[in-house]
Amino acid sequence: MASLTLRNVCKSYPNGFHAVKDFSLDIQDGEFIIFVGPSGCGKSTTLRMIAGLEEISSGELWIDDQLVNFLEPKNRDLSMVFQNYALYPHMSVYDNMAFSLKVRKMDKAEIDRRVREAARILEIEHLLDRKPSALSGGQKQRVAIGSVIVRQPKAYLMDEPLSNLDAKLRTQMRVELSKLHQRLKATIIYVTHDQVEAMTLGTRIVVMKAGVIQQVASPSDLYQNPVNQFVAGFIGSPAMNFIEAKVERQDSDVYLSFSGQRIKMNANCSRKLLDNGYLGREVILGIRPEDLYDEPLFEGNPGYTENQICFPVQVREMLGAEVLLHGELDGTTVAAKLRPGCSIQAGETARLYVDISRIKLFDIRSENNLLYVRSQYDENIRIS
Amino acid sequence: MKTSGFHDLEKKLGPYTYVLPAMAVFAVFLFYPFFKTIYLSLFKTNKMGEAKLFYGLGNYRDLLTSQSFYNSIFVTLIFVLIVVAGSMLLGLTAAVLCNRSFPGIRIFSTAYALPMAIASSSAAMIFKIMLHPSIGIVNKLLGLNINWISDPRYALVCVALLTAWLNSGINFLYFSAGLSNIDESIYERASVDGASGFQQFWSLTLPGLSPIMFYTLVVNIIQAFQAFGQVKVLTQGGPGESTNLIVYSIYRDAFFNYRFGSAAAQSVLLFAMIMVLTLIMFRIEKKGVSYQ
Repeated sequence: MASLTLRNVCKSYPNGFHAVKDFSLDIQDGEFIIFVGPSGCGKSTTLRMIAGLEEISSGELWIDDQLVNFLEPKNRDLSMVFQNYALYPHMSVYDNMAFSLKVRKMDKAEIDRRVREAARILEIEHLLDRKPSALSGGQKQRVAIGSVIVRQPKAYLMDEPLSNLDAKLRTQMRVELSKLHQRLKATIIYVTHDQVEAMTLGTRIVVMKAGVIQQVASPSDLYQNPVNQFVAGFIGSPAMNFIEAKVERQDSDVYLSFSGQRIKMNANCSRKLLDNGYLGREVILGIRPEDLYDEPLFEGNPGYTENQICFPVQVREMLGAEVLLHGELDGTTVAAKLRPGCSIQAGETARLYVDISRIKLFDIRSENNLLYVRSQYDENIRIS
Repeated sequence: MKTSGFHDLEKKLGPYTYVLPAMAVFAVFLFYPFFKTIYLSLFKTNKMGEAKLFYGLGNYRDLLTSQSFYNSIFVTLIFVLIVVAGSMLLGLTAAVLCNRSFPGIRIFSTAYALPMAIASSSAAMIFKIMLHPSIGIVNKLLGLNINWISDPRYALVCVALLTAWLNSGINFLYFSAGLSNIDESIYERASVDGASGFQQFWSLTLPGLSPIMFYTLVVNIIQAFQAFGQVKVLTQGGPGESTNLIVYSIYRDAFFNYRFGSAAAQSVLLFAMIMVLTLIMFRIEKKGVSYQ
């Protein structure tokens, strides 16, 4: 296994389109790194540049201590799982898995041992004689993974490997990939647009937008400490609620007011707002749906009524373990994730308590998180 | 009862009326000549090609004891070998070269596909000039002084290479279609897997092309056996009998020597040879061709 370093990597096309801009990242040995972002954000392009399938327009790519910009894909010693699996259609499953070893002229007995071992791990031993056309989606996916784990490359690259599977199989394979990572202790770079995959699999997540890294952080960090409104909105389901609010002051207390309502800020938020001169200006208030409650958080707390928001409920979704309420507030949609016993129905007005300690505040122009706490990875990213 | 019986009959015969026009064309231009040829091969004929004297298998016996017929078969086999190998190799190479986009690709594609639009006799005329011993460009470029068409050592090869080039156009199209059917991502995977360009060609391109290659092979072999126009224009079977391909020999026997019976017998034997070869190929196909 190996560590990878990307230094100011850019990808631009002859038509002037910049797919990836100034991408810098250090990937440690054994990390499970996730590139996540909406489609067209450059995550797959970055992965393909690492694999050598796309030329790097500028910048440097180092694998261990070797600059590999100009190295052919076959000489980079990486393995890749493709979104469509890219199985060799005329070869049996066995030959598909053995191919990368055969082209390296490895001893036949050793190839056989490795292929059978990988097949055993992935439980596809009974499929070894079949052709890819005779496999189901899930089986193809296992073969694709089997084909990469027979080798011990410097890193495994995976390009949305689960996106063609149905929801149930995806969950199952996600768990297996996680196990595989623990077992192989391998460096894995994994591209997905699915935030659940990103959150559950990654040791570190790289969130990208329009070719630019937004934030690099561990899953919990990303959730709790998003660098900007984009990351906050991208991670979490349903997405964070964003409400435009005005910063006001009454006596020594700071409030955010919006559509005839107001909520009181805690000491930390008040200080950030006042210190940065937001008094009298508008900010974006971010509240995650799961930070809204239909009962007071702290029973007997005299101030709790000041931490309430009200909105008319348009749709109520019962998901079993939780209830989702969807409504509208000043033209923006608002969602709340509540306990299943919640009695609020569609057509009623929801009066919900906000966990003030977990709200986020964003600058309305730069969209940066005013409450962001800088972390160890921040040297890698540019905060505009 | 009667009307429903008629209705049933109509229902049963109805579908056949749709194939009738095509069948009629086949019957006039294929089936009738085919059976007539078999019939004629059993007779001695007059100059008008009418069966006059029943000769039984005599025509076949004469052929199988004739040195000239064996020469024809031998020459034809060599010819087929060169033509099929040459035209497939040319077509495949051109298709592989054109299987990526670069500026001017259309010009190259057109150039490679063009031979199929050229009539064999006109191509033969052009080659005749190019191969001319004193004014031909081939001798000029190579700095040689060879009488390509009149020398028994080169005549067959010249005719075969011309035919290979003519057939390469359609092969180029077949192979291009076959290549564009191969999923691009398996090459990407192979290159990350560590396969060299040659390994990719050998392990991915060739097996991926195998169904179309089999089809092309069968068609090419049949086509090569039936080559005529270029021989007629370029060498007339000569010098000696060095380019006397079987189809040309049939033509010569029928329309120069007026031995229609013998010509018919040769046609039947040619048919049998092509049929047996094709059957063998379809038998082998099951092993060598991988359909996905």
